[in-house]
Amino acid sequence: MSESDFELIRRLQEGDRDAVGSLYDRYAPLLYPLMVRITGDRNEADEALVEVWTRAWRESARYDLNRGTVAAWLLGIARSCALSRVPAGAVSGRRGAGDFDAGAALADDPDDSPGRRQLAERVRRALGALEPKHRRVLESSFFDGLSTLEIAGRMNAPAVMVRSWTRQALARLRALLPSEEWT
Amino acid sequence: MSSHKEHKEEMIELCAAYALGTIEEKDRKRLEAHLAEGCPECETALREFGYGATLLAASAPRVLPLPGLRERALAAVTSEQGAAEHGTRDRGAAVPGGSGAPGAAKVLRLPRTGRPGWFAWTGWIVAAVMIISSGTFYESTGRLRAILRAREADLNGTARDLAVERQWGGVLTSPIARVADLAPAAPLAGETSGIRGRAVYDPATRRAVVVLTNATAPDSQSFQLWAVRGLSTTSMGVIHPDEHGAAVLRLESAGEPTTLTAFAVSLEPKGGSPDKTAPSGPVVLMGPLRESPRGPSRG
Repeated sequence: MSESDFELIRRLQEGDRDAVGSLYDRYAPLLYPLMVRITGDRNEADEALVEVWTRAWRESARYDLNRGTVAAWLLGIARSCALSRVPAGAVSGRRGAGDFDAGAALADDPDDSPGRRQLAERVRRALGALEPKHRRVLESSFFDGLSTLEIAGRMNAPAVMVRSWTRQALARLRALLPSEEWT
Repeated sequence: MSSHKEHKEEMIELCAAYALGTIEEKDRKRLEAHLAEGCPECETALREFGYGATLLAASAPRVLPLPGLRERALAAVTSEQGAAEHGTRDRGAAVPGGSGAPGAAKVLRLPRTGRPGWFAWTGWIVAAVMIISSGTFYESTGRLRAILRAREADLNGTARDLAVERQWGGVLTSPIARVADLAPAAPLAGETSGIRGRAVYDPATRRAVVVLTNATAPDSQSFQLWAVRGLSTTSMGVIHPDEHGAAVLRLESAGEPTTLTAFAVSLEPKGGSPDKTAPSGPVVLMGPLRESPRGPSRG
């Protein structure tokens, strides 16, 4: 039986380096495509991915089960590492904000597991079913790294509305995919 | 809408921004202060929004890292490990799923292996205070001696509590302990979906400690803990969580090591299953016992 995330993070907190390898095997296939998407450059994504694990190692004591899954915690680190490699102001110029199709210019690697490719397809379809403003806040925040205030400025909307749309968008996405999880 | 409800709604919206990493710094501090006070609704929201963020990441074009990157990452961690004492880790910026206060949060707030827990430290601090204080009181008036006797009685009580805590702490630190992560037996929905737990069983003493989070059941229902022994189940009691949904159950006799295979949690009518030998409601969590990674085989 494979170890739970709970056990792996506990081992990480106790300084067990082998836990890094197990977490890498489980989550690098989730983190790396996101980092390529954010940086738009595989070399930068490579460097960022290495940094993820040294940061996870250093910061493991901060992980709190009550504040999200291990996947969400690692994703936060991965986004931070990737966004730090994107020059300021380059995000919006790299692709149009709110355009999920732009990210799909890279084809799915046929060597990836069928289950993960199918999950990606199902999530993309669900994103396509969201209201445009909801898609745009998700894209601008998660992939482009814009803050609520920055998104509000670009969408010419009050920050309080952007916050509300963000919540609605995530809730709607979850409702469209109620039993989907990364495995 | 009441100001309390508005505050809660705002905090849940901040949870969404937090999960996506779009939260402003001042809002992040406000949210973390709110979470530090304990808010099951926001913790549930954070988990749900975190799942959403995970799905978003999964939608990115599937590009796989080159095989050599794994070795590079592990080498970088090894280098980091050599460069710093393990206890000095934890210096980066806060991210979703992490606590803003360095070192303040752990996976679960259980005593760490080989390290004194907070209770032990409290005992030693009290003892140190008493030793220092008693030197002063020795030559004082009768009133002060009475205070000293009262303090000594407190200390004796603390020492007894400490002895009890150490007995139970022994379950958690036993090198032969078996551990069960209590995970959903099937996808959960609604207000009970956040429940999670962990059980640690010491075959030497037959004792077990079970920790549950987000174990708040709907008004007309209760969660109930079960020991799975071979093909049969035995009730270990109805779970009575605190106001934050947390519960710690100490089981004096969880079962024999040869027959105890797992723990489970079911959702029952208020007060528990009418049948004490089997759940009457759905099993929401299940966790098979396995050897602890802290055991001797890991060196």
